[in-house]
Amino acid sequence: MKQEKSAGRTMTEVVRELEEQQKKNKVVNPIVQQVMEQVAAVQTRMGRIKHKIAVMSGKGGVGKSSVTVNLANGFASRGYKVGILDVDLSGPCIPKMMGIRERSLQISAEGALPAVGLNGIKVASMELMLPGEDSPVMWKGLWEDSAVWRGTVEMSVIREFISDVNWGALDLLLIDMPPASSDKPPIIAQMIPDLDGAVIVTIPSEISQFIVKKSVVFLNRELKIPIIGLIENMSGAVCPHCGEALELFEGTPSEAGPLHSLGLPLLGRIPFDRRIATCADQGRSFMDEHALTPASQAFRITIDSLHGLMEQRRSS
Amino acid sequence: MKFLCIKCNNFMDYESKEQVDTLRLGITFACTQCGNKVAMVTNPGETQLVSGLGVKIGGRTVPAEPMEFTREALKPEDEPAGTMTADMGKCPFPAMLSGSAFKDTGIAAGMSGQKSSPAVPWTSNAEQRLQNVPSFVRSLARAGIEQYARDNGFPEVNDQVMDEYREKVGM
Repeated sequence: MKQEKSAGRTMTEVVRELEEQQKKNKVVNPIVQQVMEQVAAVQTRMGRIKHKIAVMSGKGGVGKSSVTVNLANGFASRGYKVGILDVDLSGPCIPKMMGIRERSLQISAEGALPAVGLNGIKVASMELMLPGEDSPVMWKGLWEDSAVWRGTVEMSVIREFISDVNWGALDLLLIDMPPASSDKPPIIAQMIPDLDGAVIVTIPSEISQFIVKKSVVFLNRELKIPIIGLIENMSGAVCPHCGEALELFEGTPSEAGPLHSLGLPLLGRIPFDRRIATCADQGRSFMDEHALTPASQAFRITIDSLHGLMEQRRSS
Repeated sequence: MKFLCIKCNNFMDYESKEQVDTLRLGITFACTQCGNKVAMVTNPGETQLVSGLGVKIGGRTVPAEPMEFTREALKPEDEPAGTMTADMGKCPFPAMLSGSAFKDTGIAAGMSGQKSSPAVPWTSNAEQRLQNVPSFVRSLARAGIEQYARDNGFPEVNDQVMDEYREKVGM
């Protein structure tokens, strides 16, 4: 389109010139300004946390949250300052597992203060913002039933959990991701650029590994999230009556199954112990109460492996 | 989005905003050289997506409170599906406004976390008339009508409320 006033100059040329001037004068669009402030707030909060690890799986029901809680308790009992960010917005279970479901996030001038659970572990979760035990997470909106709207809202909610929760200085933040999700990992990858990486939880079933493999490839190849290693949960069981070890699944273990070709470190194998679930249901620490069980021992080995890889990453 | 003053070859600056009705927001831009003004009337759906980023049109006048977006976006359990409460409701614009345009409407109360207004019962006739409103704006119309009934002391939404509201907003 020709400009009538400025002979020979098109609107494109005028706009480019004006934008150059704005750039020179450092004029920032107010919306862009706010987004930049949001990014700065995220960086400030995350800057005080030494290690940030996402606990993920492409498959539901493999025990991500249970593993997260036990890893947190294990690290905390070694003197680490630990936090858990529950990113499973629609199915938040970390507060119940940590015995703090009745608490709320406290809003203060310094940010939202996380609830403090077992072993001094700090927790932020949607559950801590809901009015009751049975309350579902629902979002307001003109298109409240629209997946597009839910995705947009949840992106901003996760961003606020990262930027507005005042964790203080932490040694480790574990991020409990929702199951089988393809929309939340990109948010975490974008908002926490210095994420140490992801710990992948699977079970020794071929179906689980088949699905988990897809998510590992997506996380690593597309999102460039480093994969720290695998944790094989429900890896056999010990009979509570006779003490004999038995396999829960006839499928192949992680080092021989579909995940094998990825060459990921196996951090540990956690045997099934129904007391893990009981402790989670009652908000108690399995590793503290049943320290001598094979499952607790397996968690400690897993934590040793993870700790080693974290330190290795830090020093490099 | 930017507006160009063709007369001056100058970008217009954001000047002010005001609520046109429960569905729309008017945003005024002015040319800093000639003072010429244009107003943009927002489209609810598109603008809602912008509000989903947790930003305020025209910039913030006060810093964001911790978890502000999450608290505003979380839907109370007592809010029926497909309705908009008066405090915050389904309309995205209140959340985007950093100014005081909504202070008198109860929206500001919603932003500070106060409990939402109680639902107003509807007569079956009024409910039937609401079905004549296009579906994509029906929930917003419902909220506006309920707010009108509350503000004017009607115990329920009936034909009289519908007639008065229609006259008020020119539906």
